[in-house]
Amino acid sequence: MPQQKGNPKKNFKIIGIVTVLAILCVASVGYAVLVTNELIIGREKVDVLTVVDDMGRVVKVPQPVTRVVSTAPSNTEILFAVGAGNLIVGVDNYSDYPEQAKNLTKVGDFVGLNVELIYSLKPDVVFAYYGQRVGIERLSELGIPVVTMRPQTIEDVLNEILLIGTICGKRDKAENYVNQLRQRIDAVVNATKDLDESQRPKVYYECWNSPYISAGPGSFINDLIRMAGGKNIAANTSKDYPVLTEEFILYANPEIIITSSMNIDTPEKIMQRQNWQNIDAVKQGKVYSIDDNIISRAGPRIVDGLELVAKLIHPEIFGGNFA
Amino acid sequence: MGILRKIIYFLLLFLFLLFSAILAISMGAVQIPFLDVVKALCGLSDVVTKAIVVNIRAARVILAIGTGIALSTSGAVVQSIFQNPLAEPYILGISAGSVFGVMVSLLLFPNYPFSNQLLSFLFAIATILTVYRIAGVGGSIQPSTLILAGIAITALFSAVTSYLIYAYFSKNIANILFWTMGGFWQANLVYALAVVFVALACATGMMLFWRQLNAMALGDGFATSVGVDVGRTRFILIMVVSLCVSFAVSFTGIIGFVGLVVPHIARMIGGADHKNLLLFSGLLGAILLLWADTLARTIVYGEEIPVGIITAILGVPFFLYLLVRRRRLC
Repeated sequence: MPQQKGNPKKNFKIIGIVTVLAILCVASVGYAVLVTNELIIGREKVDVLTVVDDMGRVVKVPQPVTRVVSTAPSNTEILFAVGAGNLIVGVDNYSDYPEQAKNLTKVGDFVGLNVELIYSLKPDVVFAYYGQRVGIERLSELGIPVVTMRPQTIEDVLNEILLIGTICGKRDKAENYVNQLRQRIDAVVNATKDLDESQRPKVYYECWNSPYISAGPGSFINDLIRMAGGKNIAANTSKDYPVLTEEFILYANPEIIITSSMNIDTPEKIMQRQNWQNIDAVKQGKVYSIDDNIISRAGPRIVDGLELVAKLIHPEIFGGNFA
Repeated sequence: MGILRKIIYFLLLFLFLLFSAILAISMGAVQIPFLDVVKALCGLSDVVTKAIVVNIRAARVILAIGTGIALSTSGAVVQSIFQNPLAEPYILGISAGSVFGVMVSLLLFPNYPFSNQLLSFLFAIATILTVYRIAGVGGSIQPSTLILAGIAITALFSAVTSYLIYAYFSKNIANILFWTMGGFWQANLVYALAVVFVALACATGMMLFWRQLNAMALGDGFATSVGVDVGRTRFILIMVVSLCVSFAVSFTGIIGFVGLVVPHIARMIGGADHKNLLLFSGLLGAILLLWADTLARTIVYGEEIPVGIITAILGVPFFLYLLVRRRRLC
């Protein structure tokens, strides 16, 4: 039988298969949605989300996600806020908010992650925090998608809420939530943005008393103080958590002192410090303590923190405005 | 004539220390002119300037001086009683024990004044007694065994301290780490004067043993042959050194290399006779730590860095120089 150049029927079949394959290819390219902090494209249902995380790592997360591990309290809070709390199978030791987070399996902390335990939990994705480098690398080698967060501003937190929401299939909820937060942030920022320099009180934030560790540029607290209409005395220091000399604080003469619940010294003890009697904030009794977990965690409660700080710095503006 | 030269050296160094102290007080987040410093020290200035000059900067300067005296004289004594030119109080486990005591105090009694000092001292004493027991009984103690035991205990206490930091302070790890690198930020006049007082008292106590120290520096056999009760003398001096060092460490954290390096410089200037050696060690240690702290608190505007980093950067090259020079002489 002579070799036929081509059976029209067979050719048709081949063309059909190729076409289907081509369509599948194009479709899958279309489905591979690239998600970054700044940019979230596409709303289609996808099989694999390709994500660029805060450390610039490209991570592929198969969809849908049903088992999640969070290795930072901020990530845990975001997961609950976007309605993905029921997907969590493990959290870090410090995740204590909301209440349900306390009863989840603990997988380590900022210092070290229990990689074996996390692997045994078979998560579809791990939401990590920068600084957990070793754990992140080990888990990635084991084939577990790890999305790493490195938020530096409130805007970053909002983007992270969107990112985590999208990965967990809660995109709409996350968007709504972010819009609510943005309205609250805007309310504070709009009320303070026209204040001139003389109307912005000098604020000293004390993380720790021995030595005097404050919050400088690149920290959330610096961001919050500025947005709330204050001037951080450590705003021009060299790092995010600088060690200040006592005399620098005395010379700066802050009008408001805010300390965190992490500090050993309470406001009462700060007001009793020997050399601090001449500081305006001490003279006027404007020394306050706020829950460190609210203002230093890069989670949704950072907005509560902003409102709290705003009330402390400008009670005349924000007196009883927040629920 | 040798004596005259030493007296002149001593007076020059003493004047330099006084001058350094006033100069250091005038330096800081805001420059205060030399004359205003003197005025403030005499009580003739406004409240804020007085608070900063007297209560903060002068207190720091005095604490640095006291710590310098404590670490350097202790270093000189330790080097002599163990006939080891590379020895330091740290090697005996005193610093590690002290820091462990402070950690325990921070955990259990964070709000009691002087609890850091008390626990630091108790653990320093406990450490050194343990080391002393391990190394032998009474007079038959081997200097090398003592040092090895000190290193082992230091390693143990460092590990336990690290565990405490890891387990209880992992959220504040940066804050606690700063503490273990040493610094004078806790200074107030009461603390500073207390450290100077203890340091001077201990240094005087050490100086009373100058004859025994001179003999022991030449070896236990020699010392025994000239009638020194080596075991007893060593025990007493170890207690004095641990009191001296733990008291300073409880306020300042670990500041390394001062006790190691300063006695060598002191020997170059004043000779190996312990009458002079302890005097010059104390003086030079005070000057060195005073300037190290001034650097630590002025190098970045408004901020401070741990002074232990500076003493290490200054001390290690000198230490290496000593090693190389010794090798050449041998």
